[in-house]
Amino acid sequence: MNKVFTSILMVFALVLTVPVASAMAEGMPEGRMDVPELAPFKYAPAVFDHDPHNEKAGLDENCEACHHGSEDGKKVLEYDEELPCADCHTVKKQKGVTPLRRAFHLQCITCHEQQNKGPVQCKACHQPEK
Amino acid sequence: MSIQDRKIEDEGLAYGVSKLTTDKIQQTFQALIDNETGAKLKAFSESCMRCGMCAEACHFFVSHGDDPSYSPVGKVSQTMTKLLANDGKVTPDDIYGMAQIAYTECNLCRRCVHYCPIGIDVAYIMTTIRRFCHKLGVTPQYIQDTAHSHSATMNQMWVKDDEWVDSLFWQEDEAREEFPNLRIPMDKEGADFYYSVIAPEPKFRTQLIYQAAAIMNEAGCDWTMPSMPGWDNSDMCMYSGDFEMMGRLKRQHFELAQKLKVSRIVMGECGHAFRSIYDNGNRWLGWKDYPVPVVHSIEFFAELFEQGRIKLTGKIQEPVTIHDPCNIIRGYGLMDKLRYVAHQLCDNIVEMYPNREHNYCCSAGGGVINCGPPFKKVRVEGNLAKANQLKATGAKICIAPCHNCHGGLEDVIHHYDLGIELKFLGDLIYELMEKPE
Amino acid sequence: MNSLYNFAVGPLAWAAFIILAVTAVWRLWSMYTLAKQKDASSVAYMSWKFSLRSIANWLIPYKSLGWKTNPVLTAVTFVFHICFVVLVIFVTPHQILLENAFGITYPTLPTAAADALTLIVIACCCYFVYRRVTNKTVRFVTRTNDWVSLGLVAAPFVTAILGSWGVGGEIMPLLHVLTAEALIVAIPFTRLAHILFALFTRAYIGSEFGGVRHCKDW
Repeated sequence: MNKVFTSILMVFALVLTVPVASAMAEGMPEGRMDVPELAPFKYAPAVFDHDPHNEKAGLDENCEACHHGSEDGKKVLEYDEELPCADCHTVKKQKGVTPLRRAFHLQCITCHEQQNKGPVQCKACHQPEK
Repeated sequence: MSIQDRKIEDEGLAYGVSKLTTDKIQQTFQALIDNETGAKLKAFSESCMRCGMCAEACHFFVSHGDDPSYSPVGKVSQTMTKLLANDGKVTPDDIYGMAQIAYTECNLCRRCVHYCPIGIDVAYIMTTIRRFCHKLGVTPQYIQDTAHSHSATMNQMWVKDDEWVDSLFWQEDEAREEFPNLRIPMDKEGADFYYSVIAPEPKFRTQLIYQAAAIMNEAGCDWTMPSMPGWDNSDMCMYSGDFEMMGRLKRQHFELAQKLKVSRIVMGECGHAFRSIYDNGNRWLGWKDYPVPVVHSIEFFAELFEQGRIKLTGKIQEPVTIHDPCNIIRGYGLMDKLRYVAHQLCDNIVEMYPNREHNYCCSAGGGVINCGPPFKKVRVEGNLAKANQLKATGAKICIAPCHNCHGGLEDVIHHYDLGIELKFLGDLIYELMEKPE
Repeated sequence: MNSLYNFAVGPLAWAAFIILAVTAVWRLWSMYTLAKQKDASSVAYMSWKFSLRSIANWLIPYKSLGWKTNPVLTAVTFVFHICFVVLVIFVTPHQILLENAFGITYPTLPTAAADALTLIVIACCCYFVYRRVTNKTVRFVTRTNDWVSLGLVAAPFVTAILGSWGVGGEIMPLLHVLTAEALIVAIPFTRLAHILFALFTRAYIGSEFGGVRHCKDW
């Protein structure tokens, strides 16, 4: 029993010893998300400035990477300029709809994970306001 | 301090240990774990958080200046924890200490259960250590002698068959001077109950049989006492770890009732004998319930009073306190019946605290007093807690409906010079009941 | 850094929970089988009524003789366990992780309250350490694994509060996740196994005292 436990602990110890470099989000601008629907906020709104972010991420021509449209309530990758996120993604949970906060979180984090770029930890985006 | 600093010389332990090797110890331990212990021991051992909350529960701990090696968890730590950690690979010298702890420094009273949030049964762990020591042949000489007696004679005190019958005749004869029609009906088939006692009664407390006969006689009971082996309900094998013998003794005790075709057994004022039928012996035999109903004297006396079958001439006026024996109170919940009977007999009962199922042990039970003179000092000094409890009541008399408690409390009262008189319920009933002119 | 963090909250977290689930079930099941096989004469007396009676009475602070005799430890023990459970479930980041992964939502603690409870848990751990060193009985029976268990429990809370204060930048949340996963995996194999077994040992002794001994066990 103890041997099993020791070997599992060792694995965790090994993971810990992997040299980790703290790479704070470099040079992101000061702008923040502005989604009043989600108030009150437990954490400061996420740091996000549309144009510099997209320039850095190379998304200039690729709006539908984030701004998808919908048809019969289904997600389609066609940009619909007229449609604000909160129109479909209600704050409250509804059947068949991803609620607003989760939609934002998944939108940002999933992409950051896939690209292995940009912050993924809570406070890296939700930096306390000074 | 640890057990290594307080080894006491004992023939039985020394002889047993002299024949041990580390290999034999390890083999025996592994066999014990493989064949006799199970989830209970495993769960207890793994879940104990070593918080030490149990320490205050133990009279040995509080009376020996809060010495941690006397705390329940400390005793487990020096025995079972050590054995499990080393897979049983310990030295014969270690076994000496473990045996001394398990046999002479724990009364198996289970008071510590009331202190453990996890619900660990230290008495079970200590019993298992005793079982282990028994299998190794390392047992204190005195208690082993009683176990030998059980094996050879089916009673604890080497009482021969004819001596037993003789003692009954003798008591009957004496009692008839006071109660002319009194009989001690022997082997009466189909009686309501047979009365079983522990072997120390015929051996050196014979007046208790006299008193019991007087009470049965005056209450008009349909009773009998057996002439055959099985009359002794005591069970030191339960405490020495000789469970095979414990099983034989219990079987014999019940089979005797079946042979006599009685409808139940009434057991004398003894605690451990009762424990052996409701807790240990029955389980060893695989019985959840008894083949023949059994009642303890406390229950039996309560029944006599409820039915108005005992007439008293008066009540005790002096302050009287009640000692709750572990094996029938924390063990069997007879505290209310005990108080009912005590209040029938005494006007001025002063409770000692803590009482009922929280009461401190007498420090003699669990076979500790049966380990004899070498260990008396530790046991008596280990019960300053009880002495303080008794003293605080200011009582002149203490009721203790258990033989072991009598032995233990006698020593405590004498050692701490408390000047309290000890009584069985039977003593008081006999003293107070109406007798023929 | 990102990939390490993603690995920790992703596959490693899954691994930790799966290891816990599998080993916990395996430990409980093998214990149950062993009890049926070897402790039948004790299992025979198990009773729902007396089990629940015992558990309920021991959940009341200062009800049992043990709780009464150790007032400070009792307070610390109750506060520690309650805060522990409340924090694990009700801190916002945990809920957000659940929301992102499974869409589960429920009210959570304000950040300041979470910080306060975390500090309380750390204070409780400090008391446990203090007691383990200063109480004669506890010191006498303490073994390495008692320290290991205490360390495993304290680590996620220390890293959590440091992270909340912004100490150590992105390293701290990572350490928090890793130490918490170590704790999760350690449960069935250390003293923390009492999380799995304590209810059952309590239920057993409650049944013994209720059914065989006809008296209370608190």
